[in-house]
Amino acid sequence: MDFTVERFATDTEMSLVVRLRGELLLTAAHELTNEIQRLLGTPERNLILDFAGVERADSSGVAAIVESLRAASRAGASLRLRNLHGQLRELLELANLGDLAVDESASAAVPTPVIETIGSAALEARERILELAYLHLQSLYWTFVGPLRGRRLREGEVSRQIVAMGLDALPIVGMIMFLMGLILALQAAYQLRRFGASIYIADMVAIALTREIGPLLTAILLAGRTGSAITAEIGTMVVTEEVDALRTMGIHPVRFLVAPKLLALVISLPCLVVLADIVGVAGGTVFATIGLGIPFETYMNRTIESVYFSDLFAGLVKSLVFAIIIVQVGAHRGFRIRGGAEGVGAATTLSVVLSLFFIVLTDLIFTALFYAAR
Amino acid sequence: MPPAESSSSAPVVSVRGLRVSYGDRLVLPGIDLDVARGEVLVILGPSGCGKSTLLKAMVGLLRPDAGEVLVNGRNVATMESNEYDRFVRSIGVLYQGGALFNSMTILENVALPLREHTSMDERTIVTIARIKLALVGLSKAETLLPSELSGGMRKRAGIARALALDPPLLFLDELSAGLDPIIAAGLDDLVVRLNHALACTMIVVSHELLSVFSIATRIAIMREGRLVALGTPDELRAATDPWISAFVARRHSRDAASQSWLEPFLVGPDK
Repeated sequence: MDFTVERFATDTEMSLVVRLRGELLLTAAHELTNEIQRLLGTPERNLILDFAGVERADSSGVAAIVESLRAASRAGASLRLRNLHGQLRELLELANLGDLAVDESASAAVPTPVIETIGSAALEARERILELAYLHLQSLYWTFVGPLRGRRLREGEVSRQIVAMGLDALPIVGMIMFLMGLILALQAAYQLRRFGASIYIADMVAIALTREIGPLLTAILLAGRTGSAITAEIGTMVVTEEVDALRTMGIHPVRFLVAPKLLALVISLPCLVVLADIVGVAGGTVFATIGLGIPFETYMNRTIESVYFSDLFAGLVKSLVFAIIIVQVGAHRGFRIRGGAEGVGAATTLSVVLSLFFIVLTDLIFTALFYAAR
Repeated sequence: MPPAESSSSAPVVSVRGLRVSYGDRLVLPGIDLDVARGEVLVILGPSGCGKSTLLKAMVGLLRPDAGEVLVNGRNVATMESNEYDRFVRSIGVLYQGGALFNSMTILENVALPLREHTSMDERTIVTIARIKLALVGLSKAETLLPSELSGGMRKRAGIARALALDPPLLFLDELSAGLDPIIAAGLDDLVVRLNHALACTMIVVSHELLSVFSIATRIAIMREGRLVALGTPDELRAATDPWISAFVARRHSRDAASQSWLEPFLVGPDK
């Protein structure tokens, strides 16, 4: 592409005429923008672009012209187009981007004051928490009170959910807890062997599992497995208007979608935790008997002596709360979905992260209470 | 019972100064509209003009900023939950994509409102659901899941589910959007037949001109959140407003103002 720049004087003003020759395609378009920028730096305020010699142009050429018009408008100069014809003119006509004087890149970059960001985040958080609390009450109502008042849950749905959330999670929970038992025993052995107290591995593994690791790790696994599934399912139903359809069919979405899941997980999670405790202890036993040669009977006796019923019970109570957290955070994120399939993906991630946070926070509160009660 | 309900000449649905926005974005600045008993009112307009928003506000899914939607004289937005439950049992809604529940067969989908809201025995429920499916020509598909249906079949199944409780008032959102002309014509025909056979009032949202004139008793045309025309098909064909006649004639109308944004920048021999 060639540019010829000519000075051109009329009676009243001086103009610069830029004659273009050749094809206004990719690289040429860039050259044109640069040329215009350069000319706008000169004192001349009247520019005319002459397209008589332009044979062909594509969208990058069109973009270059629009950019040039923008640059001129920003610089307060006048840029006019001459001999614009045929395809290029039609392309430009279609590229109606609105007010050229507005520089979008500049207006978008205005930073929000820090205080304002913090403030709006706090308001947003408050609203989310209120929503979550409302959903919490509703789902507890529809799960435990509604059925007593004759609003039964969907037939077969609870058992279907127990299979999906609990039974199907057995292999992965079992596997991971067995490995966890092994790891705990190994870690304990490393320390205790130095004091010749290897037998206390049994206490260590059993107490750590029943009080803490069993409920916590199971809940974390289920948050990733079930929480994300709940968000994705409900979110997709929001996107496809199925949730709206429920409302206009007079079926409360929380009763129809959340209550069966809540009941199913409140039943499944404690069962999984009991299994997790047993399998974890089994893992520890395998290492202690085979790796360290501690007699099976001795190890079992120590385990049984060290585990208090209250520890087991505390773990189960915790797991009930975890189940409620997983279902409700998952459902809340699902109902809040905006913006199609992409929104479902983002909400699913956020749902798991939030569940994990609330689970660990609850665990801390429980442990602190337990500690204070001693 | 309010007096409005007994009089057959009173409008079934009456929208008064309805104003709806999503956050900061004002979608409906103010709509007034009456729907007479037994008519098929088609709400027509280009995509994004607020038709579906209007429909959602009418069925109580969106809370208006101002104004009200009266159905049989009762304000939908301020109903207690018991009254709202009764209200939704008297309407049927078809959503854009059908909104069928994916884990249930077509028959189960249609049976769901019956199971939830009636105490009929299993056999009666299944029979009624089958009748509704036959009504929309889906008798052979009752054991299929929604994912196994074509777009047109999903819409028809959605209509069957909307009809489950014999509602006197039907809302159909984007009845024929995204369907081929032959299937769409079939759905139009279905709407007309149902309107005659069941004597129900229908509010249809559409942007397809093809079908509108054959099914509508009256047409309301919306543009940018406002109602710009309301009348029988014949009245609208005779309309003199350039935008309306262009729209009705399926022409793209460019505003004079936006005709050529380039004009001020042109100079020289060609100008």
